[in-house]
This record gives sequence, C-alpha cells and structure tokens, in this order.
Amino acid sequence: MGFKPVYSTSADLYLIQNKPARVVTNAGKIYVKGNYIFQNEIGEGIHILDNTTPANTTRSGFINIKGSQEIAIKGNYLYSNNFNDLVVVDISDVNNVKEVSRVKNIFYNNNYQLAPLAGSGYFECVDNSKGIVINWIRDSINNPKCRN
Amino acid sequence: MIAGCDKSTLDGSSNAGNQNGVGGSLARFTLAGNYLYIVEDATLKTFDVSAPANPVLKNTLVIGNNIETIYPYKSNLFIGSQTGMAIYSISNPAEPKFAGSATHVRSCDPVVANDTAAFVTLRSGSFCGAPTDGLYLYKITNLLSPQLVKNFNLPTPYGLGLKDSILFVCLGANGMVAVNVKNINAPVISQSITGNDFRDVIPFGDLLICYVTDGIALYDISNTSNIRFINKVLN
Repeated sequence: MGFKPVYSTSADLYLIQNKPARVVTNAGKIYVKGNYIFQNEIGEGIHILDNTTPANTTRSGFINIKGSQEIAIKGNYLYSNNFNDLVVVDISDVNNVKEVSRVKNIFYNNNYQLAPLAGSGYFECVDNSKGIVINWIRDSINNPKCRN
Repeated sequence: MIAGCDKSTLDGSSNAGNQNGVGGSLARFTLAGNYLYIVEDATLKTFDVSAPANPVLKNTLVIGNNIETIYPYKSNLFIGSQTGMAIYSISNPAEPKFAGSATHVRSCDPVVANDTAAFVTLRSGSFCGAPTDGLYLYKITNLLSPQLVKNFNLPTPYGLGLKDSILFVCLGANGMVAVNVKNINAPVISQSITGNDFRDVIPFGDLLICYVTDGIALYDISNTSNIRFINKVLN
C-alpha cells in the first residue's frame, strides 16, 4: 500500500469560465473591487458577491479557475493561478469573464503536483504525460520508486 | 499555503476610488503601482503589468526558504518567512533589492502600517506560536529597525485593517474590536463587537467587509465610534 496520484486530463481543468453561484466549502482570501466582493474557493475558483447594496449583498456567481489559491485585481483584470499558470481574466463583465492571457509554469510549489504530504512513505512517482495531478489516494502500488 | 491568520494590505493601490482592488489576506500575490509581485516558497517574481492584460516577467530573485507573505508599503516590500521578515526596496520597482531585515517581526504575524506605525497581531497556537496573544504596536520612523512601543493584550487575534486612526482587529470567536491608535503609546478600545467569528477584515470606504467563519459580514463604519451591522452572506 502506498500513495498513488490521481490524474486528470480534462480540458475543463484549464477552462476559465462563469458558473452559477454556489456555496462556500473551502473559504479562502477575500478581495474587493468596486461593487463586487470576490472570495477564493480554494482549489476551485472565485465566488462573486454583488455588493451594490450592502444591505442586500448576495453571492451572485462563480468563476471556475481550478487550482486557484490567490487573487489580485488591477482595473478590469483579475490575476489568479490556474494550477501552475498565472492567468489574467477580463472581469469588465463579471458575468461573462474571459481569459485574456496566461503565463505558464510560473508556480512550482503546488507541492502536491509532485508528491503527497511529507512523511507519506512510498508513492508512485508522478508521470506528467498522464495529465495533471489533482489528488493523491492510498492504494496498492507496484514497486514504487519514489518516497517522501 | 493557506494559513489561519490574515491581514489587510495597505498599499498605494488600496483606495476605494482607485483602479485596483483591495486584498485582505496573507497574500502571495500583491500589486504595487504597475507591478505584480508574487512570492513562492523561495522566490520573488516581479511582473510588469503596466499593460494589465499582458504580464511580463521582469525579475526572479531567490530570497530564502519558507517564504509565507508579501506586504507592500510605499517603496518597500516586507517579505515574511517563518524565521523573520526581510525588507526589499522597490524604488526601482522592476528590480526589488534587499534592504535589510527585521527579525523580531515574523511572517505569520499580520501587519498593517501607516506613515509612522506598524501594527502586528500575534497569536499563540498559530504557525509561529507567539508567547502572548496581542496587538503589538511599532514605531517605524526607521523602517529597518521597527521599535516596539506597546504590547496590547487581546485574545486570539487574527487579521486586522486600518481606517484613519481606527484599527479593526479580528479576534476569532472573541469577536472584533475597534482600537483607537492615534497615540500608539496608549491604544484604546473604542468598540467591541461579538456575534461572529472574525478572521479577516477589509475597510472599504464606509464599509467594513469581514471574513467570518460562516460567511461574509458587512458593517457600516461611516462613524467609527458607532459601528453598525448591515448584513451577512452565509457560506
């Protein structure tokens, strides 16, 4: 028994798009810009709250950015991480966001992309050709060559 | 990467009427002027975002280990690690340069500052494990050697935010306090608020936006002597 990576090659992993408003499960950083409050949903994307009238603020939408853990906003551009890439998202219309550019492989320390938690023991080494690691599970593994 | 304590950034790009948004946390991304600074475990990357849709990497510095936070203040970046705080000058914003260190201000301690003072919360049981929970007030007329002026005991402090002379300090399940810090030698609690578990705040004009454990709570701070609850959006 040891750890083995769970891969995904889904094109969705790199798709930046609006989704319906959803509940907060893993609350992350908050950020404010104009009439909107943004809150990170760790690893999933960004909640949009319409704060035009604070007495009636509601969660009005969501921006899907898998792997996201950070937010910064300059003018109508939102910066976040899509796994290891820096993405720039046009939020001039928060309900119709568009990725405008991407700088690939800026981040190297999404550590779970390389190994499970320190001290996990033997694990099946990551094979990048199989896709991006989105999780680690405990399973029977054969002749593991990696150890943490 | 996500720690329990948070802070509000108080950089030049934080005005409600300005082009940039306002962050309220232990950011690894921070904007200062036309630059986006990103810290990872050991590196500081500088991106020119004068054309915001097209970030251009200008500089990568290897700056240490276990880097946790970055906080811009005027022409400096305060970069926190688990062992201390390094100060980088961004007077040439495309090329941060090491300017000094303040080892008694540690990374996981949320910091906000104004022209003359820095305010830091320390909490035992946090990443670094402080000896005494509280709000620490520093004189920073010499940035490279902050002088501790006052240690103000507060229970379980988390993030903080500053509006004029009022410092809003989150106290987790103990609520939140508004502290008048006009005289940093004698901070005075002007109001205590309970009913929420406060972790982080962003003062935004007349609105205080609070990250509480079960949602986002909004308070009216148009009169900082009489802070009034407006609404809460539940998780």
